[in-house]
Amino acid sequence: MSSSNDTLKPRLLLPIALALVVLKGGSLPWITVRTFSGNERVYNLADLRGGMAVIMTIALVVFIGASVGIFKRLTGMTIMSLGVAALGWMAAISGILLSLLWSLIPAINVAGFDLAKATLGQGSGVVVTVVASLSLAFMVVRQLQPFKTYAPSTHLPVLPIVALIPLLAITVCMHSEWLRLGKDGSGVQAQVAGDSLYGSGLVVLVLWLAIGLWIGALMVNRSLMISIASGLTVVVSMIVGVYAVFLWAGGKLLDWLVPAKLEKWTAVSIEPQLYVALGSTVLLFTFAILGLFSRTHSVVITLGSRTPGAFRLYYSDVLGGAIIIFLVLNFVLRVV
Amino acid sequence: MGLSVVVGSFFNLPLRTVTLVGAILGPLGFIVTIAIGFLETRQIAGDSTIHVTEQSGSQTELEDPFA
Repeated sequence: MSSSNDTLKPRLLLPIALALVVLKGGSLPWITVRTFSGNERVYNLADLRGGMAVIMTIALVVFIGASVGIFKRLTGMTIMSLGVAALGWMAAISGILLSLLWSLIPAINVAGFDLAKATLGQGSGVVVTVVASLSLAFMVVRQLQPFKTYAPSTHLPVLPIVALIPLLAITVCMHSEWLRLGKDGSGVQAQVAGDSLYGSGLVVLVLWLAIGLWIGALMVNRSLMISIASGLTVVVSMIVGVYAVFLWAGGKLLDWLVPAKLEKWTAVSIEPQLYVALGSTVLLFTFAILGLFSRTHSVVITLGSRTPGAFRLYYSDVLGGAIIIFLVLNFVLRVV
Repeated sequence: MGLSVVVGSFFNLPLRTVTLVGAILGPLGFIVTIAIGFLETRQIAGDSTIHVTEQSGSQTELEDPFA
């Protein structure tokens, strides 16, 4: 009886690994400042005053949650999830808050940089922190009634998972350089990132909403959620696609039109991230269109049957173990 | 969390679930609560329609001597 109950409960290794990923995300770049001299400076949570205190407090909550989870698994997971959710939402709103502040004040000096003469974007740490935090939240929420009936633990819908991969790739690429104007030695250089384009703040917000809706579709595996997420994704993928195509065409046109003698000043190089964003947009658009047809909603990955016999191999343990090994290797390599 | 609790109570969803969803998922919890609320309401409405149809069907059987 107890062993059958144990198999029904969620495993603890993956939630702990995800909580560690969220904490690791706090040390990855959260804010990127790009100046017109070609410099780029990144800031993470640990760089901010009181940032380490926030990380240590959340680490303590995670430790308490993991300890409680040994005896009361769902309670422990919930405590961990509540702790890391605080960091996740802090990461999500950090970029938006700083962008708002930046747009309101004509000149802000941060660590010697005049932000009025620079562009600002979110770093990769935000994506890592938010996605890991939402993944842990997904594991907790699907254990609650009535979510349990809408997201059975034996099945995972395929469409939200395959849609989330290009969507996350686009979100990461939006915060990286798409185009570089000028040469390295020229002194004046501009890096055009996806999030520095006109109206991109709103697009990034909608991208995050689309990520949320697809994760919501994993929690509430019903046609209603998948159709809403698909509809929004079609729109946002088209907008990002138009951005990428216009910037690519504009860069090529500028490179072709400007006289060769100004080469030092007007050298245009298209960064690989632009092509990644373009490719991901095409994939995402395809998946979103597929999501509008109800037949694709029933395609699921079955997780019910596992290795028979005394030794059971859990997918979540394998994934959690791989994440922890990666984190340990990363830490060791940094120290060495 | 507050919005999720308000919406959840509107749809008669369990308070514990709605509070946790709101606290963990934040604004996303609000959207998910609305979705679950609609689905639950639709399911309850569907169940009650089947119940009424079954009841009316059995009444017809009693009233019609040639059935």
